[in-house]
Amino acid sequence: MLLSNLEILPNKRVVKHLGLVQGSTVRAKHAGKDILASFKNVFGGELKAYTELMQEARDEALQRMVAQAESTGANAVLNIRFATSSVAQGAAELFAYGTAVVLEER
Amino acid sequence: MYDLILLLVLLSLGYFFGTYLEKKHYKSILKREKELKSILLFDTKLIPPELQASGGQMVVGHVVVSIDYFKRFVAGLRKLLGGRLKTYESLLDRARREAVLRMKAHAQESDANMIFNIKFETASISKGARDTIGSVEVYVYGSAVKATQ
Amino acid sequence: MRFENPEIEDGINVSKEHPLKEFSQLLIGLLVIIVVAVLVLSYSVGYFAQKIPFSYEEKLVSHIDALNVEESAQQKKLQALADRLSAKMDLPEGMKITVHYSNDATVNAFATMGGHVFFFKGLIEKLPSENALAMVMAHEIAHIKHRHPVVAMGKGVTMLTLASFVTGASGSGAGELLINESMTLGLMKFSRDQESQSDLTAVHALNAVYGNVQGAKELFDVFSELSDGAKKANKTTANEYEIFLSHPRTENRWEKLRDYSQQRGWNLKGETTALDFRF
Repeated sequence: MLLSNLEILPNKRVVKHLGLVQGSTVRAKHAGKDILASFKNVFGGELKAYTELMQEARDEALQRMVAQAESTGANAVLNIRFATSSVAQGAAELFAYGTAVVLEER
Repeated sequence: MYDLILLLVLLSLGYFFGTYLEKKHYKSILKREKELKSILLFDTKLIPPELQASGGQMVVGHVVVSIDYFKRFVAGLRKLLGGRLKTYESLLDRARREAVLRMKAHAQESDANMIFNIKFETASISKGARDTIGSVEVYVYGSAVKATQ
Repeated sequence: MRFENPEIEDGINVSKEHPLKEFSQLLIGLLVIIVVAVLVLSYSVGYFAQKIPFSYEEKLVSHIDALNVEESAQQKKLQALADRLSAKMDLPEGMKITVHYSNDATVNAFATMGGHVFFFKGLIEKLPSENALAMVMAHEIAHIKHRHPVVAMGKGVTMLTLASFVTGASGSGAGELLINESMTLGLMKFSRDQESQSDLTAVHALNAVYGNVQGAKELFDVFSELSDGAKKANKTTANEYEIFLSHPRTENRWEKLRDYSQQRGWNLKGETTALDFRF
């Protein structure tokens, strides 16, 4: 599965458009990691635990999008975008969407 | 009285560690920016047709960084008067540059030398005490291609 | 066409100003602004609170059960003393003093909204004469005469509002710190001014009733002893002698009253009436 946020890929041709596919996940803050993060909030710097957490969540959203694309028989998702929204205090939705297509070498 | 002592301790911890970590981070950013200089960045959607390009796989880079206690305190004071929150500037600058570098590193792994259609996402993920921004997430993504000029 | 990414000059998106500079500028600037706001607000609130009719104040507290008088022999004697003093104190029309007596060992007496004065057994036991008791009583009546309880409440409410505004606006401990410091400064000054004003009014009444101000001297001697004793025993004065917390230093209070009385040619010494309160 080729994922790209371009509309037109070099040396490739879209032979079939399979419509919008999307994946989303809602994650809450992790209590244990939150305690660590609150220490970090004094010193500043990267919150590694959160970076991982957010990455996992985005991967999950992407995987769900890919699963949708696979079910339509696509071999690529183009023009992918991400969106984040905070649903409630301490919870965030991570959302990925794109167009499922069948690509062919030109 | 104890509150005041605790505050002073937190402020100085935040100031000294925050400054140290920030300096260290900028040093590493500048070093890696030089290393990854050969990867070109574009936020255009279309790859110029004169390039002999191939690929187009999406690459991402992201980071969550937190501001230190001292800078947050200064920003709290600033909010009473309004104006530029100067102490937050370096936080966002660092986060964006770090995220871009991580994206570039991904592109390098897949042997690409250009990234097209770059987009940034910024989210405040953990709010600090009483709704102040504690830390921000910066997410950057684009499509990596290998092209010869 | 050539594509390249030349190096961009570093630090364009970040202010060069040292954060400690911004910190100190903000801290000092805001402290000045807030102290001025606290002072201006507390003086204007103090001025307007005094214009509230006393009857409103009485009505406001009329439903509070703790303010119902528990009659006792001691309470009646205290009330009689209060009536004798207030007759000489030129109280505004309609102002009524109600005395309450508590069997508690706390060394304190205080005046509150609606003309209510509270006396504790602990304080009365320490006093050598009726004159000293009269000085305390006149001091508390003076608080009511000058409307200090309602002014204090008005200021308290205003300060709380200001505090929550500042804390809310800054969204961090920063504002809280500023407001606490300046409020403490402002309110302490205010409380001391009130005490000095009441001392002067009280000594007038004392002279008018007894023809001398010996009672004031005796009262402050007792206070000095109490605070020295507490210092020697190295214990906190907080609970037992809470009367000292909001008041100016005892020595200074008496010196001020002595000079004031001498200027007016009052008798510093004289006959004292024994205290017939033995509980």
